[in-house]
Amino acid sequence: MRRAAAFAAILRKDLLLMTRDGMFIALTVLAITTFVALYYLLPSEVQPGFTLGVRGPELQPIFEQLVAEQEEPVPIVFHEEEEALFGAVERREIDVGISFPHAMLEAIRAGERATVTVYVTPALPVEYRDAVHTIVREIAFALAGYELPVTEPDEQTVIVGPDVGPVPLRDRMRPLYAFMVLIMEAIALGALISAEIQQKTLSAIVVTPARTSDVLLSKGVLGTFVAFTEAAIVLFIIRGFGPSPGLVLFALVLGAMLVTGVAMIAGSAGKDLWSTMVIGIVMLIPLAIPAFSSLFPGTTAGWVRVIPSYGLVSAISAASIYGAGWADVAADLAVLAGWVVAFALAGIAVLRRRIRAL
Amino acid sequence: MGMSAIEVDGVRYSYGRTLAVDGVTFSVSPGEIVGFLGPNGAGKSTTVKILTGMLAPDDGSVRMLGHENGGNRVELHRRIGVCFEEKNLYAEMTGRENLQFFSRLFGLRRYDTTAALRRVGLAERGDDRVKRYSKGMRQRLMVARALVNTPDVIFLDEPTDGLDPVSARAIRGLIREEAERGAAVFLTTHDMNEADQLSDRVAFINEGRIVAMDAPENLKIEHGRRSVRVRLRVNNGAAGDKPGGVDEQVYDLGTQEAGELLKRVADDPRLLTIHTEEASLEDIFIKLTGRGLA
Repeated sequence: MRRAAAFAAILRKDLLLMTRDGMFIALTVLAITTFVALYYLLPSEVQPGFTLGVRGPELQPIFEQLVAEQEEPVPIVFHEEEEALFGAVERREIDVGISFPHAMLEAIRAGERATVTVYVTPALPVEYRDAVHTIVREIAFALAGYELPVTEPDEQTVIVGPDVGPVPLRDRMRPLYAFMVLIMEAIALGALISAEIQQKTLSAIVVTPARTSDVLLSKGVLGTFVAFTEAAIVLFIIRGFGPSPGLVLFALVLGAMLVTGVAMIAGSAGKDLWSTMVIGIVMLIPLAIPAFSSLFPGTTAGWVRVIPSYGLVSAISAASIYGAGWADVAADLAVLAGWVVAFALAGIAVLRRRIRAL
Repeated sequence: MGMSAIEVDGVRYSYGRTLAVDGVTFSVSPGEIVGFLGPNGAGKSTTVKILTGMLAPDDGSVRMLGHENGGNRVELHRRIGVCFEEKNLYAEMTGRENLQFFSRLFGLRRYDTTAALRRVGLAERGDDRVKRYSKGMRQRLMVARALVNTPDVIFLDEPTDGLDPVSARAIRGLIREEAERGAAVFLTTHDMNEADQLSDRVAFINEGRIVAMDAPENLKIEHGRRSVRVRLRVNNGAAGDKPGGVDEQVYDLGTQEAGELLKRVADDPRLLTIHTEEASLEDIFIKLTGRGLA
């Protein structure tokens, strides 16, 4: 009971100090207004252009000829196997994958019908799907040597992932907005922790009945609560919850805990406010890479997936943009939870050590 | 005298290879004010950290308020008050909020902040943020904060450092009141005059060791030198004498010729003033350690 009172007192004090911290208030207002304004200022329409993958290296000369005739050539990536092509679309490394059957040339020349499978990302605009159909026809004509009549191949279009239609850039930026808000709150929390250490106010607390763990718990709870609340407000305003708000909120809680761990490390390691900010930013920049990567579907490199924040961005992106459910992002959330535990333990260890050295 | 509030026996502590506290032994009784004097790096702060449970000694034992070597630290901390040298107050909170926060940490539901502020002369400014306080006001709030829980042992580090004489006198009055209430007061300071005025006993610490510990008067008797300072007018109208010139001489009272010397001085028509002098704590510290307190 007495511990609860001590914890509540520290939490109350931290909240009071946060509301009186000019930098915290400025960062909070700046984060909310900037990201919301940015969201509504960006166009809600998708931009033209897509990347193309093809199964059938034997067709490369024909494609190169076709591309050479285009005013704005479409970049093409060739794959040996259909499975690899499908994987590339699934990972959004390319927007469209056309898989020509191995014996297509012979089939067309023999006047037989061949089936071409087209894999597209859910975000590909409908008009691009029509363009893909034209490409398939052109290839068929080219293979037949433009000798009419040509038996056109059957075309089977497979949408890889939930079909939600094209996604404007501003909506793809939702995970980035959420993560940037979390980053700013982490920096503000780090600054507060640093101030407590530099001004030695923590020394005065640890010679009262309050324990070091009360101080740590208070910082952790407050940091998580503030970062989560602000990120949730921003996502709410920019309609970023999608059909699974519970999932997005859960991912945000984990994300807020992750950055709170960073704040504890930066706040404890910094010698002053500026060094705390530098350490915090240096730690947070790599964590922001997945959020930037999500702006360009299909460009995420393999190493980005091992960055601790990848699960957060991936879960928010999948749930808020593509309507993914719990089962779809369970693996991402599990990995993220593991990173949260690691960062929280590291943050607590560093801050505890610093308190003991006071 | 009853059971000691603080009993320290052979405590040692090192920071890596640097020995900070080297076999310190002393005790402080309830109601007693003990001054812990020494230069920077002598081991004062480390000793206080060990006593307050912030550091565990490498060797030796500390028994405070019945708790052996920290014991139940939460219970121990409930009964001590610490006033740090750094003004580690929450500058963005008011004086009242600072005291309220610490009273909550001690689980005090009916703490009277107004009375506490009034006691240190801050009743009128209690609702101002601490960042607007002068150095003296901050120091008074620091003392009030150390007394929030009516502690049985009070640690005060340079409690009147940089204060104006009026504020310093007020703080000293508070410290005496707390000792009269029965609190053991452990005072660390550079200020020999303060230690002399306040302390029932003083301990000199140098290079981690206590080199002397006793009542200030006893230390002066044992280690000091009694003397008289005599001022004589030197302008007798003789050629070369400057008008208004004064000659000052110090005579040691510990010698056999002291009585004769004093008699001769008293009969001298040039005599202006004669004052007895005794060694200061600082003189004794220098004599015992070969170094000053700065």
